Amino acid sequence: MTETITINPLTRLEGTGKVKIEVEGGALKDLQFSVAVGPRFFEYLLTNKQAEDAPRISERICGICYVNHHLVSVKAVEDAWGVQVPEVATLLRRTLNAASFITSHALHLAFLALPDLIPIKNRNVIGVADANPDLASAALQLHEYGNRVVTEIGGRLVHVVTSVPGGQTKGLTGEARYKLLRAGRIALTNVRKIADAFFSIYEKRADDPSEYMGVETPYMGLVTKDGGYELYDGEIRVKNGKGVQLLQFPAQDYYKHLEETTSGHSFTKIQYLKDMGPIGGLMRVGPLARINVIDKMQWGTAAEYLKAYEKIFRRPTDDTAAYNLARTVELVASVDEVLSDLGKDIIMTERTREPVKAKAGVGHAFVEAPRGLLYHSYEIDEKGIIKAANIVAPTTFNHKSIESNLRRWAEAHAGGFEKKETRQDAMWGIEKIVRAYDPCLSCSVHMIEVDLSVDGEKYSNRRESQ
Amino acid sequence: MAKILLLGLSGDTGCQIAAVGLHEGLLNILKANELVYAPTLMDAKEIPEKIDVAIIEGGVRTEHEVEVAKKVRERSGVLIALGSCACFGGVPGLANLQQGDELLQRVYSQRGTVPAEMPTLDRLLPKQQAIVDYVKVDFKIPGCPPEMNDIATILTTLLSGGTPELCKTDVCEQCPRERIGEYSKKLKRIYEEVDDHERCLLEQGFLCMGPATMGGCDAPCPKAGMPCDGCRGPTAGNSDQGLAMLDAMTSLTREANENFSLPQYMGTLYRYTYPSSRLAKVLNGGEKK
Repeated sequence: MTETITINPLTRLEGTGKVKIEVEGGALKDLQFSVAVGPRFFEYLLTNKQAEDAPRISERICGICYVNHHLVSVKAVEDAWGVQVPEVATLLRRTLNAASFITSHALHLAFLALPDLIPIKNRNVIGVADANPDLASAALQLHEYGNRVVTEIGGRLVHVVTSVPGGQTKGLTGEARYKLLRAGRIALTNVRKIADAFFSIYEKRADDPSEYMGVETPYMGLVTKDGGYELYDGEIRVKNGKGVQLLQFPAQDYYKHLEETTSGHSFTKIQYLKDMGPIGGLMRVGPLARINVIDKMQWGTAAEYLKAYEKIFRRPTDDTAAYNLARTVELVASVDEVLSDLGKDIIMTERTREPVKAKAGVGHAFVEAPRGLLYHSYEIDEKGIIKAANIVAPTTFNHKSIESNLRRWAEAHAGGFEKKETRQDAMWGIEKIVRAYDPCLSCSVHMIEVDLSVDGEKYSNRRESQ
Repeated sequence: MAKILLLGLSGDTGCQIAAVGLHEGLLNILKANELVYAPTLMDAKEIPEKIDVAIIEGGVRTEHEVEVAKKVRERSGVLIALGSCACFGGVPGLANLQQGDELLQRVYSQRGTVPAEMPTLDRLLPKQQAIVDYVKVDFKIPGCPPEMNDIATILTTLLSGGTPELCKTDVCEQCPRERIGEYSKKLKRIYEEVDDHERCLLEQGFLCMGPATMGGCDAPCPKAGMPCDGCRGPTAGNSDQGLAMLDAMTSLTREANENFSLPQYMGTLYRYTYPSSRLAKVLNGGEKK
């Protein structure tokens, strides 16, 4: 008797997704993780539009990582036009990008990941707030701080507006900078509070490699020239879980190293590293990948927590359990980076952009988004009109690796799906793995439904709320 | 205690993020009422049988979304369309300039993509539409995303039995940039020149959608050095934002208007409203469903 379990929907945004599991005779028969992105055709709708509008159009792909789309988009246009922006513009954009990590990671860790790590009765925002008022308040304050920085530099919250080919349309006033730096001290206290809480949970956690399991993939993320942590610029480094560096290349060489294919059961394109082929070349991106590929953290507080991380997990590691702790280190790093950037006097330079000229060309750009590497590429004509666009979101990079991770876990726990008394736990195990990758804020704990049908009997993981 | 639903269809969740951004404001509203269904905020269950106020974000792109919108409509006292996708079709509506199958071919068969299996267009509708095209909506809160204050004020007014009102003026009303009545001889693109921060962008030749766009947002974009891109949709009483903007452009100099081309500026004039525009209806040969 084959049992089919469907987890649907997993999400929206980077994927209205589902997981389908088939178990027979105590063994896994098949597992499919489909990212059924309700296609909104952004790549098409960018064509025949003015290139300078791309940053404002493409950020509508995601209400959560809009900052990252806005920035990678302007970088891609500038790459096509051969534009160098003033130093102050680069610094403002770096700060903006780092601030988006503060907001996204703070919410994910405190409100979405926490219920997977410690027992919480009501697995939602209010439940977390009731169980850990201090942590919840620190996370909300930190989230608010990230939003303040985004609003100040981006001109607006949710769908920023200030990046234009040639620079930024708005700089910082002395007063704004002073206020952000002052509030930053509280942010640093709050981030330590959150990080300490997560580290203490992980220190107490029994090291159980079968809880999340891992998958041996290459890891891909940005690094600075000297191997430091990088979210906005730099080169792409690919390393495997054993620590062997496989590749390092600039964005323009993307097509030399990566290839795309499609899959019949998913709207997501599949990316793989050419040298390693369509199976071995499937990679992972995001917090774990970034922490795996770097040589060091260049800021004091983040370096301190990276050291603590290395006492808990091997670095690099293939263990998916490390995702949330890697995310914690990143949360600290993003506060560090924002404060370090704001502290540089060059951020006060008055002229934040220069006029530029459109020209025909192809531009490629990467930035790191909270969920992983994000890529935009545009083909632009001599009038500055986009003729073709290609966008690769983090979930596109991760998609097949998440599937492999789930398959491996389901193989080891196939019996668990069959027995009634362990079925809930098994479905919960699958959800936990998906959530470790943070597919999206809105595809939170509570959007993930597992429906299981055995011999006509229906089971569901959907719990009643309070 | 009103039963409230908050739900996203084909959009990017930005509106719900904006709603969550109300923080205490939202918590107070939720404490005084009952949130019965909101997948982003709480455990997802079945859509309840009885809803007092339903708030839907996003446009409609699949058959499933049509069913959901209809189901929510049947079970709700008041239905609010939240954000420009729900109200007008939104940015994804720009894809309506092309048909579905052709879109898939384009997106999935470009340079660098090694085609294997083609994804199937299961139950995908040919066009992105606003919710209002499928069900009756009692109130529209436009914006990409809507202003937090709008959300709070409108919800509070509705819940206390009042009739909320949206801004009656355009974006220029709150824009601090000065108009001196002199217009540029050239239509400029924002990267070509650094604007004078004190002066009206449109007068300087930058296509700012302010005059054709519903106000009440405090003009954050022109204040930050960027032209308004019309995210709040047409001004009150106006059904076609692009046509209204073309009308406003007649005040520009003849020379400036000479280098205007409609195809190039479609993504500016109709960035948020193409599916619900009169132009789209004309191009589609009348009303479509």
